[in-house]
Amino acid sequence: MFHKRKRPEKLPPDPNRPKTRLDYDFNDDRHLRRSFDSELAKGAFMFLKPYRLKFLLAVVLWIICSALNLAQPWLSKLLIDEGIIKMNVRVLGLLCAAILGVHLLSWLMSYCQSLAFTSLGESVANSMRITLFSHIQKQSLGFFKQYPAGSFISRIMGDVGAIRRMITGGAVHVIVDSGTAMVVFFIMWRINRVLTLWLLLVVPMIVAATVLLRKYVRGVNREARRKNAALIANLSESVAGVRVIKSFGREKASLLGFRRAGRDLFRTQMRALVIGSSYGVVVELIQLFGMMLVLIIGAREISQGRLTLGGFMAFLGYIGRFFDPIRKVSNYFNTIQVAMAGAERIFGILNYEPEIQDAPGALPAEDLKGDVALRNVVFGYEKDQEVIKDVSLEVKAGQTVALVGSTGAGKTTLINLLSRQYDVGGGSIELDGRDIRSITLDSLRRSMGVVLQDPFLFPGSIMENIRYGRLDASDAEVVEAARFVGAHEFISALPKGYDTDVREGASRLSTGQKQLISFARALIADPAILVLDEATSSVDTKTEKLIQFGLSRLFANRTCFVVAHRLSTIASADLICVVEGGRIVERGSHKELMALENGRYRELYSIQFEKLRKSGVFSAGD
Amino acid sequence: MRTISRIFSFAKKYWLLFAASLLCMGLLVAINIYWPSIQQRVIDDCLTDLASSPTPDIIKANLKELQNFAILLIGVFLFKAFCQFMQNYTIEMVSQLSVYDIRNKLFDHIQRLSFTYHDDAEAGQLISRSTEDVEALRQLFGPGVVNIVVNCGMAMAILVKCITMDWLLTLLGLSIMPILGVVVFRYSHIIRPMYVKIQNQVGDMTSAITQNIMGIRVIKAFVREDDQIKKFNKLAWGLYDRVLASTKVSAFYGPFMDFLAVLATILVLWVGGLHVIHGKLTIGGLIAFNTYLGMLIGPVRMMPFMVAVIQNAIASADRIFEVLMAHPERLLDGKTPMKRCRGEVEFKNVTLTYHDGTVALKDINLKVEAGQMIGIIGPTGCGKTSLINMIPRFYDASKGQVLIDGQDVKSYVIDTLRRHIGIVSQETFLFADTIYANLSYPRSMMPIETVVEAAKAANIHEHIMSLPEKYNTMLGERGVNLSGGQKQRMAIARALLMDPAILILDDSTSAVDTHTEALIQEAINNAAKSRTTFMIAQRVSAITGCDKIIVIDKGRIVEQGTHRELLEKEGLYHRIYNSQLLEDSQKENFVE
Repeated sequence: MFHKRKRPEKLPPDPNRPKTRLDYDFNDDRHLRRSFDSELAKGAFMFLKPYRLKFLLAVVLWIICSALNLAQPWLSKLLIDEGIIKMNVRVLGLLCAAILGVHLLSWLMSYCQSLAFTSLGESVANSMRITLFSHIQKQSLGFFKQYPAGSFISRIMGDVGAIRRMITGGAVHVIVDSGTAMVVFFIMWRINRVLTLWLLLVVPMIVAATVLLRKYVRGVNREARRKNAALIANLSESVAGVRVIKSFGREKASLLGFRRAGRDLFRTQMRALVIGSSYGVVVELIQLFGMMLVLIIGAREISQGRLTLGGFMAFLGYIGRFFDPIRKVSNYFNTIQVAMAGAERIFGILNYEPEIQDAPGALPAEDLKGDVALRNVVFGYEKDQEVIKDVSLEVKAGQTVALVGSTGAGKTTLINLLSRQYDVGGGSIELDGRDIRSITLDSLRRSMGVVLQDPFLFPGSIMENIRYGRLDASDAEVVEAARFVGAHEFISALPKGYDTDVREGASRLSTGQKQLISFARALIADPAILVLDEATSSVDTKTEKLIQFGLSRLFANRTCFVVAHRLSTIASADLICVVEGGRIVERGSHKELMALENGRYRELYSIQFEKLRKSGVFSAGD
Repeated sequence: MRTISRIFSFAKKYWLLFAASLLCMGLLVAINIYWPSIQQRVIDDCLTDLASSPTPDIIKANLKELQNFAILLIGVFLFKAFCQFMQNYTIEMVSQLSVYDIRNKLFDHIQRLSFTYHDDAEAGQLISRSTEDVEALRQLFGPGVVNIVVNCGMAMAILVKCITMDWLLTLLGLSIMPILGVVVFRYSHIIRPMYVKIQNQVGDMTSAITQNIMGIRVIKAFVREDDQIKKFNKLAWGLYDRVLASTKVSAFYGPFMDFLAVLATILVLWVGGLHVIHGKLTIGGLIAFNTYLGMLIGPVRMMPFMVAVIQNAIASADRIFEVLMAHPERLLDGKTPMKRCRGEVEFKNVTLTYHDGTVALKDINLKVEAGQMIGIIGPTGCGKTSLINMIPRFYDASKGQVLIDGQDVKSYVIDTLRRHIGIVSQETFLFADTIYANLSYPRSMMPIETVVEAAKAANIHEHIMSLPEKYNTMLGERGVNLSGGQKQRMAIARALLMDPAILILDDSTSAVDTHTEALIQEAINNAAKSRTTFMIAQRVSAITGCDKIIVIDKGRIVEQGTHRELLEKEGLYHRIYNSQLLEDSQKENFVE
């Protein structure tokens, strides 16, 4: 067991003290509880609408099941009163058969009810998931910057579950359970009024205990889950970074951190146990109190002949069936709160209108030549913060344009504007003389190939990944494309060739090789305009040579925009634009720009070249 | 069996708690058995009297008795609640504490396992052993033990009680149990793989979403959104099918088992009812008997789950012990603590053979003076990294000796040895922590000034200052992502803060652009001052300034000397140099 160590007094915040992760609070589910919001609930229940027949069926079946369930204590009462006490063997046998029959029927009904209910719940959840997923696909890039990748998973898989519980599980529960409670109440009323009235005393106690205590139970359970996640995160990091830990000889410190996480988890779990079982004890105690009431009052009633023994037994049987639904309905308040928080997050996404949409009357682009013109383009991600300031540029079909400049100068932004990932704030971008906003988004992007700095491949074979560029490409065309960019050689050297799964080969495929695959992918789409975003900066020299070859093949016969750091990529471009502070400060061919005295390009170039020279490669030979 | 005894050896420390828990369990079983008999007495002693012959005296006496019963019931209940709580608490304590011990032991062990072990082991495997498998053990220690003990004890006690009450009814009730047992096992056999399938499908959906978000730019670039939606649709309805299939099974078997239980009850009620009519049994007795029978059904239905818990725990324990059996480095530890280190390194006839039989290095002889800078170059896979990995004893020489300051590295205490060696490896690992915490990793809570100084030397200070929270910026998933070159410079700064006598740089510049390469090169030059430095490189340009350059090919040192000496030899080094010069000359052409 652990010593209860007192936490050190919190030091006054020292702004100069360096921070570690312990200073950051990652408790990001503070908003997990939320009170009822009719707008959100209405939105959530809209998902139920297409399935209202299924919903009706589930409710009806559930009612039948509950009715069958309720019939049993009644039959038992008859069995005791009419069969055993009145010593009627025939009635006893008949009632036994009746109970059996009711159970057979309830077996069948509960089978149907479970199926109907699960089918309803899963259908609703699926339509929510698919709506969300489709909606996310429509968003522009700005949207993805706002949410961390993990949050989509928790929304599509987690929050949807919470809402499903509210609108199917919850709604059906409320309808059926409150119905059940009322029917039970009626039956009990018929058996004995006095007893029933006394029992009503207990109801508010159960409701209060459930609503109040369950809240704590779930709170502490959630905390335990979070502590557990923290422990696993600690563990994963320590295993992944074991070489660093060992080479700095920090095993002990790392074990200490792990122990602390384990101790935290232990304490929370013990607390969860105490809170959880005290809820159970309180509820049982209240029910016991009810039983006592029934016992004592019931005895009086029996003695006065107003209650039979069988009726008394039946009454005892109904107590549980009366309290259970009340408890469930009370608990439903908690379900609603969790679901509301989930609904808020989900509708936060669903109500997010995609920023980039087809303009009314937009026409598809067909057979583009590839002339591109930027006219006084102005753009800022946020208001008053212009990243692109008045850029104009004219590119003829088939030309290659290189964008050069330091990080943050606006090169990537310019490229994103071209394929309309963002809309210009002022000015216009024209393609073959048409404003790109008058072209349908799909056809615009289809005519534009983009190769990114980090070549992203989807899980699947190399063949599938290349074909991603054009889904109807034949195997032969895929191989042809790979051959064309110079990827065929290494692909066919792999044991499984084009069928190699890029995931299993993740370590086997180098970044350069992945990049070549992404070239082939772009090539097979055969776009009129090709955009490369620093596609060659993250590879070593050997692969770069390979890539250069692929690139030169890719560049032919189309308009190309290249953002690059490596000089060798830039120098062969038809037009070089030096971008600085959101403007094009110099433009021209390599020769022209080098001829400029005090030119920015010349300066950039000589810095890089000087570094190469200083490192001895050029000087050592002579 | 051996595994089981080993499993429980973890919990041995907590036997006292365990005994307390067992005691509570025993009390609970007793109370549960006692409970229906109170009920029986209430019915037979009071209520039947009240129902049949209500004379005022009898009524009064009976009501008084009833009150006593009520008080008794409340007392028994409170005692039961107390026992239940104590039992839960103690057993939870045992299971949580044992698991805490096992987890820490595993963690500690994993950290002490050698590099060779970690080379072969999958990280995911090690993690699932320390989480899922440990959780399976907790299931056994906690709910598992309780269920087994309570259910077995309960079943026994109930059986005895039933037989003493009415053996014929007992036989009648029990006749259903074997059928119920078979059904229960069949059900658990069918349903478990179905749940696994559902879990897998959920996993597939999750990774589909992850892939979608990660590749969103590619998807948008190729306008493949509809295709993605179609795929996701298929996955989602696949989940629907699987959930529904499992519901079909559970919706059939659940009520089926209930039905069998009811069948037993009805049989007893019918035959028992006849007994009551013939005066062989009281009504209270019959009702109590039925209650007991109902209590027997619970344990039978729990059976397959208890078996599953035990099976899972044994399988998990085997996997855990497999890790614990692997030899930690500790066994190979030397005795002499390394207090000071001058930084002389010598390889004497060193041969390194990996355990799969491949010879990584052969007959290496190399002497390095303190403060020298050594460049190491050679084709990929020639053994460069293996060579430097032997200095901090990540691997041990199979033959020959590696000496530091004239003493075999094997004679030093590993921890103290490694504290004098700084390593910047090819792939930089940073922790999901602040920049400050990452840099001061060698010794926690270093003064910020020292850290800044090192960051400046490593050419990363400027970049850090450009981040919104500067040195307090969180790295990793929840924070800022650094580029490859920035990570490299972070690693250099981190190594510098250890102030090592020996610095090892493993190919730190191959994966970065020329601008970053220059920054890193400068950082390295700063770092190498007054230390023995080993520098592995792919490009000649990175090591021309070294005091000595070693060229390795196929596990042997084929050439060594300064840049100039090696060029004159016109061997492998010269060839590498020329081929790289050719590449770069393309760039030279632009100048003209």
